[in-house]
Amino acid sequence: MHRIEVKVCMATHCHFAGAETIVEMLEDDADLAEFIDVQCVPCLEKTCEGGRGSPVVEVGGHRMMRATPESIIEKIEEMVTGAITGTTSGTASGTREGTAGTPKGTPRSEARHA
Amino acid sequence: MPEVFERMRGLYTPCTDIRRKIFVGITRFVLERKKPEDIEKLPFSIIDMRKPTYRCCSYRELSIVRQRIRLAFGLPLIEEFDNMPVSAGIEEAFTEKKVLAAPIVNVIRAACEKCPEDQVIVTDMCQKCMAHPCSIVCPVGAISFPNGGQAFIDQTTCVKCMKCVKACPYTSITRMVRPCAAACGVDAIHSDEYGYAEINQAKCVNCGLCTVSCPFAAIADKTELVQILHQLMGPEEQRPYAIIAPSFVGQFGRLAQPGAIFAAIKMAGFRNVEEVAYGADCDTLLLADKLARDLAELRRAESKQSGGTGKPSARFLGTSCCPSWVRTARRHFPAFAENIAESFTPMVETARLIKKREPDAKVVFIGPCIAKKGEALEPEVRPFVDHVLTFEELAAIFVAKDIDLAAIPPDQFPKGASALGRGYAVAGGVAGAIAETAEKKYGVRDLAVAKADTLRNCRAMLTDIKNGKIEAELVEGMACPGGCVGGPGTLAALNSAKIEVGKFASAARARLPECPAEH
Repeated sequence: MHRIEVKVCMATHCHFAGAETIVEMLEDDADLAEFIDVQCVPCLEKTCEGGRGSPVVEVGGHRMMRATPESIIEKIEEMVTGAITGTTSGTASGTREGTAGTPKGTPRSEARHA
Repeated sequence: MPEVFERMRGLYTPCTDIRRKIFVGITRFVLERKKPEDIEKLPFSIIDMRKPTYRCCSYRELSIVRQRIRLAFGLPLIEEFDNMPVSAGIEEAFTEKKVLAAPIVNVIRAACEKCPEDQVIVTDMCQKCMAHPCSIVCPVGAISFPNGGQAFIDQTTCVKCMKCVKACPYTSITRMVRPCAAACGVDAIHSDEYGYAEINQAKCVNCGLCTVSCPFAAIADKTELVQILHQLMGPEEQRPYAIIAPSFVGQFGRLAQPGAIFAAIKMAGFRNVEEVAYGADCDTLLLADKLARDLAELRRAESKQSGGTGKPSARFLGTSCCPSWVRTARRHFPAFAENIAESFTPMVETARLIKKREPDAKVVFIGPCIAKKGEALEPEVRPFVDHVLTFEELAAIFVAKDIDLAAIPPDQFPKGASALGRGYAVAGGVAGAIAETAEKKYGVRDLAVAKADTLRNCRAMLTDIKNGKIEAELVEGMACPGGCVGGPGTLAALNSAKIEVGKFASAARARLPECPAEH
């Protein structure tokens, strides 16, 4: 499957607002490893508007403001689920019920219950 | 299980968030030259009164933020029950002069949740099992099963022997120690009569680990941000020099090269930046020399009286760069007071080189350390180091001034410190530097080195030395987990910081130290 590019802004504002925690959470997450490529990037065209929108993270071309590990993982799952149901439907079999708010067949539920 | 002060470290929590927002808010306030009378407006730019963000209600947040602002201005706390406006006298802090005074570390009572100090409690995992080994092993009969339900521990009887904790097949019994007190390696935190955490300032050594361990952000250190900002905004000749601790590498994000950090510090208004690793080099040489001389004498004396007690000698040389360790060792082990090197610290050595060139220059130490704020108040240090700033406080200045470390051209390092000096930032690095220098320069071999990080471990190490359980000729103590890279004023996670320090050290011009300053 096509891997999702996750770009985490590491400019001053975003770094101070917790970008480092986001990168470490994503890199340490074995469930996500096969789905994403994490990159630390310089300022994303001042999307943060002087830090008000920090941290800024781009998930597969989709730019997110005030990103948290939770919101990013949700976005990744949404994209992976979209790709699965759109192209190879049925690969998400064998999963048990996902945790609340987690769609079936996403990186999390698949890897955890496989 | 990691120690309490390691569990949340490197994570961006709401505690980190509120602390940093206040630093940035204050920095912008000062940079925009707002008047002291406008200070009451500042909290409203940080919190939203319409809905609580961090705590149960916005009014509590308001109270906490007001007090954090006072501390960040370097002023002593005023709390609501002091029957005075919290901002009283804040105008005194709008100066380039030194405002900071002890105590450095303070409990904000409005924020304190009054956690129970230390309890062994039964959690909901208790299955009311038939065997109930908990009550069988309890030596004081503190465990009962009210109405045949889950186990219950009577807190007035419990002696916290932990036998029930170990015996429960469901691991349902746990010990809860107040995080601030658990983080404190010198047992300086207890409860006041109302249940709020209280710091015994006579015991506190300013290590600051409680400030980053309280999950309610109820303990904070004072800062010198405002006074330093006033200096940075002043005329060129009054601007301070920055000296930066060896742990600075990797603290400002993965894209911020060491050279870019130096350039950013100058853009923030400092006249110049020097590596404290340079002062560390001077210290290494001084201590290696002292060690070689003392040791020759000591070993000679010992070989003369062979067949003596057989107990290892308690004469050793202790490192002096961590002020919390030095204070702890001297206070808890007065017999060892003379073993701690009397030399100046890397911070002072570095500042001294600047003051020698320019006696009127102001010097700001930038580091991971809260204890240095206290050290710089000591009469013998004050002439050299004017102010102390943490990495986190410096980063707030970068943010407020919109200095992008990932984009600015990096500076060249005019003169590099040695690899060993740069290694001071990581636990074991100080003793390692002294031992290696003593061996290469003075031929000292088979040196018995003892080292410990965190104050609890340091105290255990000194007890072992005192009891003759371990032999030590050189002793390194560090208050923070992993050494200075684990300091409360850091931004980076411990492991990545260690790696970056290692890389920077291996890029140094030379491995062994050199020091131009004559002693």
